[in-house]
Amino acid sequence: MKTRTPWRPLLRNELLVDHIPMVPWILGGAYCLGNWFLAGWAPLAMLTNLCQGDIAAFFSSFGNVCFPFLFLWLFIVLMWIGTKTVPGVVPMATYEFYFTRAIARRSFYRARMMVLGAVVLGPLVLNLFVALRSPDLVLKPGDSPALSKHGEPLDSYLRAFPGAHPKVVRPSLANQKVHELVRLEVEGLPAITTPSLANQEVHELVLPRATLVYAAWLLWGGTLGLLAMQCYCACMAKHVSRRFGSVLIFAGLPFLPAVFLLVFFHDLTTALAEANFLFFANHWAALALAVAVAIPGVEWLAERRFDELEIS
Amino acid sequence: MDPYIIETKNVSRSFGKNPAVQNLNLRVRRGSIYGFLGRNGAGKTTALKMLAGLLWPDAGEIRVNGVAPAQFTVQDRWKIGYVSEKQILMPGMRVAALLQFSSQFYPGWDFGVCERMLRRFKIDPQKRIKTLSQGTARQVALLLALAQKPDLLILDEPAANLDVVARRDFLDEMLQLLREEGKTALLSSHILSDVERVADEIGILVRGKLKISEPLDHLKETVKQARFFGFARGLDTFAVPEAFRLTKTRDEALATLRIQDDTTLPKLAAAHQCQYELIHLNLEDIFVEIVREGEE
Repeated sequence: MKTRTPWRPLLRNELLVDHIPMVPWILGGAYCLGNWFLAGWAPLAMLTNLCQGDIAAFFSSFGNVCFPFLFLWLFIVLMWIGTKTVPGVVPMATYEFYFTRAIARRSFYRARMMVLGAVVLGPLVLNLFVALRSPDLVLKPGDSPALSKHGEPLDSYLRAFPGAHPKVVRPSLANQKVHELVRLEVEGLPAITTPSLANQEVHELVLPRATLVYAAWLLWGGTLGLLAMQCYCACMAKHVSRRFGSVLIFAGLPFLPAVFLLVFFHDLTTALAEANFLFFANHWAALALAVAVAIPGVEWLAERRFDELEIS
Repeated sequence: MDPYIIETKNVSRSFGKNPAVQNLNLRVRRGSIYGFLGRNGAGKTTALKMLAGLLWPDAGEIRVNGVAPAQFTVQDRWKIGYVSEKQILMPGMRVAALLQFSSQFYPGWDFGVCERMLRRFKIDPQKRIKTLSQGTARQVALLLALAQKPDLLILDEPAANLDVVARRDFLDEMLQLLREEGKTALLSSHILSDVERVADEIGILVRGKLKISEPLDHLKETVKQARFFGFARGLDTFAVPEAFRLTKTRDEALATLRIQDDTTLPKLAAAHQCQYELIHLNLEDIFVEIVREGEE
C-alpha cells in the first residue's frame, strides 16, 4: 500500500492553486513572474548596461550598496521562510491542520522549501543562463575599490581569470564628449566640450567567462544566504512564541551585527564585495561544492527540527 | 489486538513552572466513546494534543494504536482523526477543494460520508471557508475527520459553536459511523448532556490529574448524593471520609460519595444517629461534585 505523502497536492497547496480564485491567481502569477524575470535580469543589466561591462567600475559604483541590498534580501527571505516554517510567526492553529493529517511533516517541509527555493533562487539561476550568452566583462584597473584601497596587484584578477588579455580601445569622439560633459557637470564646472582626447587610447583587461563567474557568484551567495536563513529558522523555530516581542527578536537578531558592520565599516564593506567576488572566482569549484554538500545537510537538519516541533 | 486503543502511563507535561498534566494514566477501550471532561484549564487540550502528536510529554509513555505519537507514520495518521478546539482551515479554499485536497492523503476516504454530511449540514461545497460561519466551518472540520474513516477520533470540543440541531446531527452521524464500524472516539466537551447521550466511558480531569475513569453507567450507579438529616447528637462531628464533597447546613448535611454497596449509607446513618435520603445524580451533577472536591 502507498505509504508516502503524495507530492502533487502539497505543491499545489504551496502554489496557492486552490486558495485564490482563478483570475486573481493568474493575474497575480503573471505579475510575480514578471518581477521574477526582472529580478533575474537586473544584476547582469546593472553590470553590462550601467557599467558598460566594467567589473571594477561596477564594484566602485555599487560596492557600497551590495551589503545593504544583501541584508534586505536576506531579511525578506528570513521572513518568508519564517512564515512558512516557524509556527510562532503565524497562528499555530494553521499548522495544527497539516500536522494532524496523514502528511509526513518532512514531506510537507520539503514541499514548502522547494517552492520557496524555486522562487528565491530561480531568478539567480536564470541570470546564470543569461550570462552564458552575454559579452565578456572588462576591467579598468584604476576603477577597482579593492585594488586601490589595499594596493593589491592586478594579479588578483589575473589569477582569477587566467585567460585575461589586454585590449586597446580608442573611444569615439561622441563618447568622450559625453564623458567630459558629465564629469564637468558633476564637478560643478561649466559644461564645456573639450574635443582634445580623440586620439587617446584606453587599456582594458578582457576577462573571459567573468560574466558567468559573476552570475555564479550571485547564485552561490544567494544559495548560501538561503541556507543560512533556513538553518537559523530551523534552530529558532521552537523558541519563537506568538508574542510580538519574540517575533521581533527572531527577525532582528541576525541583522544586528550586519547593521553594526555597515555603519562602522562602511569603507571596508565597499571593498569587501569585490574581494569576495575575487575569492569566489579563485575558488569557485571548492565553494560551489561546499554549498552543494551543505544543501542536503541543512535540509536534513531543518526537516528533523521541523519534525520535532510542538504546536501548543 | 490490544484491547486499548489509547494507553498512557504516568504522562506529565508542564509549561514553564505550570504543570498542565500530571501522571496521567488513561486507557481507552477499542470501540468505545470516551468522554474526557474537566474544567477550563484542567489540561484536557494538552492531553489530547499529546495523543495527537502535537505536543510531547515531559515524562511518561503514550501509546495510540500501539505507537508512540512521536513515531507516527503516515499510515498511523490514516487511523487517527483529529479536530482541535480552534481548528483553522485554509480560508481561501472552497469546501469542495478542501475535501479534494484532504482526500488525496487517505486511501480510505469516504466521499459518501462527505456528501451525506454536506446535505445534512446544508453546506454549499462551492463556498469558500472564509465565507462560512464559525459553526459551519466547524462542521466542515468534523466532516473532514469523519470522512477519513479513522479508527480513532480525537475531538476537542467538537460541538463548540454549533447550534443545537447541528450538534445533534453531528452526534448522530458520529454515532452511526462509530457503531457501524466499531470505531473509537475520545471527545472532550463542556456540553455534558451531549457526552451523557453518547459516551460509554468517562474520564474527569481535575487540575491535570485524572480523578475518574470508568464506564458512565457504573459512575452513575455508584456516585450518589445523600442528604443526612434529623441528627440526634448534632452534626458537628459528622464526617464522610470517602465523600467527594460534603456540605453542611445548620441541621443537615449533603454528601456526594461513591456507594460501594447497599449497606454503606445505613451504616453511616446509624453511626451518626440520623436519617438519610438518596438523591440520584446526572452526569453534570456528578461532574460538578467531583471537580469541586475539597471545597467546603
